[in-house]
Amino acid sequence: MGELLRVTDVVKRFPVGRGLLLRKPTAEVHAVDGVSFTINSGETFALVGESGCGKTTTANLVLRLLDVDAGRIDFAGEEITHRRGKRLRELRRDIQMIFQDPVASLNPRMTVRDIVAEPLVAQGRRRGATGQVAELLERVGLDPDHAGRYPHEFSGGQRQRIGIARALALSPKLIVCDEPVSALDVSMRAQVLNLLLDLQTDLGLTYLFISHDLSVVRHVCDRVGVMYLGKIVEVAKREQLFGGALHPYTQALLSAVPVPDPDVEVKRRRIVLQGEVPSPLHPPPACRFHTRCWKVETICRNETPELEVRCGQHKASCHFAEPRAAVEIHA
Amino acid sequence: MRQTTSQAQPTVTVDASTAGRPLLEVRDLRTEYRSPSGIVRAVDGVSFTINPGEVLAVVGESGCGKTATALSILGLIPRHAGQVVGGQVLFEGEDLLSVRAERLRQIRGDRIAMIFQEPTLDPVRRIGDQISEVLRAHRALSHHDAWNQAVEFLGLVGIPRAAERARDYPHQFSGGMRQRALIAMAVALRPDLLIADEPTTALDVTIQAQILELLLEVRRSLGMAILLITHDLGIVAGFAERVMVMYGGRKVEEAPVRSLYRQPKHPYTWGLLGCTTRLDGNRRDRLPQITGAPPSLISPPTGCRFAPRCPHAQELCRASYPALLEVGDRHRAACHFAEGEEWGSS
Repeated sequence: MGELLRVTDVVKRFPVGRGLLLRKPTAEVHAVDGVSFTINSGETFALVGESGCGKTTTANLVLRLLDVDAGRIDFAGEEITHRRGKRLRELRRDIQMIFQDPVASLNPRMTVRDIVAEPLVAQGRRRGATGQVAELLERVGLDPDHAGRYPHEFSGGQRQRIGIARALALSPKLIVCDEPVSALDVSMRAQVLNLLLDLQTDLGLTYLFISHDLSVVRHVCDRVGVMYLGKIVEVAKREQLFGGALHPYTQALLSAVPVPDPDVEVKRRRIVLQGEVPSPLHPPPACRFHTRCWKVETICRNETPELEVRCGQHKASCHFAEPRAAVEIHA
Repeated sequence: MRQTTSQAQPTVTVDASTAGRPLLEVRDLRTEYRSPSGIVRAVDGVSFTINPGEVLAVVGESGCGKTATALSILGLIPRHAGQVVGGQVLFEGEDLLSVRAERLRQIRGDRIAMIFQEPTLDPVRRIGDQISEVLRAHRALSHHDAWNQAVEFLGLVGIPRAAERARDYPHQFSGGMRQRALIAMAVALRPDLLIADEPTTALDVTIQAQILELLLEVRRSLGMAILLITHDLGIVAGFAERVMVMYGGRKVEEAPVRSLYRQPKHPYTWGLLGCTTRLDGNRRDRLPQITGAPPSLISPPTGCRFAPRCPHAQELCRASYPALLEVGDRHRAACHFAEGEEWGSS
């Protein structure tokens, strides 16, 4: 189980223009601001956070759909930060993606066969594609006889399976799953999560799992990174994070996830954050969470806390890090 | 920043004149939609009641008929799309399905209000004006008074500097604030019933927690009943007093919130609870799953709608639709084998 992906201090800023004629960019959105993490072969690493925290941008940087402004990305021991052309196309075989929206991510005018075969065709492996498509469909639990159908003839859960079959077509090493079950109903969600787990066991896949839902993350991930306003504020193994999150933001995020149990909900000690996430155009100085944090002191407004190792591999960037259980109950 | 504890729901005292009579009683509601492939029986004989001040949650997956039920109550099914074809919707004894359009307009907004998943505000008008308009449509108020009340309600729903922010346009509000503004608009007329259709689904989880708390706060101060429509069994647990589970256009189970989570009697409810991801309890790598997909409502299966996916289905289930049976205190389930079965053990 060696290291498969290493992301080091990547930065991505998007210029924001003013006026109709995008003249000079007047400001920059700090979408990703110095993010580092590693993923080992065969494991699932989750990036968790709310809208605008930079988790999807980070995924797009890893996929090389966007270019970094600074930092570097290594995949399987080679730097891929600035790969272009043929070398980049080769990389696509190894890193694939599953999207959130099973409707928008499938071309409605293509048959399932053509959709799943497209990565093969794009890589010049047209021969034998039909047989491979049948195998892939079977692998994800769809009837190969339905390959001639169009996406609208399938349910949401089945469409997501089509997207997974497409991602598997080139036998990738790493699959970036961007909110793969958020658009699905509860019963479909469990089916797709189980499928992802089975595929990982059978094919030895590595996942970068992007999600806003910590209860989903708890079921599928080995390690978790929590993002807030373009920075990772906490990284931990699953048991560490759900057993005792250290960063106040992670604690608040966990506390906001409802538990489907009325007895627990009544007794639960809840942290309700006031206000909303500040604009990434002008992130707060020093600790970015200080405007909403209940532990805030002068130091938080003046000194940026480092993402430091606290115990084992558990890292958190907070001046006042203290563990708190995911579901705290009143005694 | 505050640390708070979810409190048990206070029971709202009902005044003697209306005691015993439900606020809303839906009887055998049937709603159909037209589609290119045939008639969709979206709501197929649903009955339920809501008492004054009560919080009832309607839970189910996409296409189970939960939104269609809400829209039918308010007469909001678009005419080109479908229609209510049977049943009664009795609001304080008055059948909303047979009243004149004008009377329905009076009740809608004033007595029964609704909030939707997507914050639906007019993008080119000030927030304060939009709330004032609702007030003036139902009350004889001057512009000035309506505006002041709008500001007051924006303050009530937690918009800081409400007097100033009332002059903003919707794009100047964040998603969470827009949902707050809509809640202000919905409760400005102090309705007796608020129908909230997936009010937090489009919001981030920390904002969701704020909005749910706000809804319960507003309910405490105004004493209205809430009909919450959601797919999320998590938010229901801490929010509702009673739950109704829908599947395939029908009610399959109904119970006080605690009984439903402790002793689910319908295999669908049991399956839904089992496959919900959660933060606590034993973590399982593989989740128990409900196989297959919900039925088509164009030609739904005869017999129990859930039978094709049910691990316990027998001949009887495929042959006849089970009646809603009393299986406990205020607990009803539509399953031939609901009584005495412990689905969890099989």
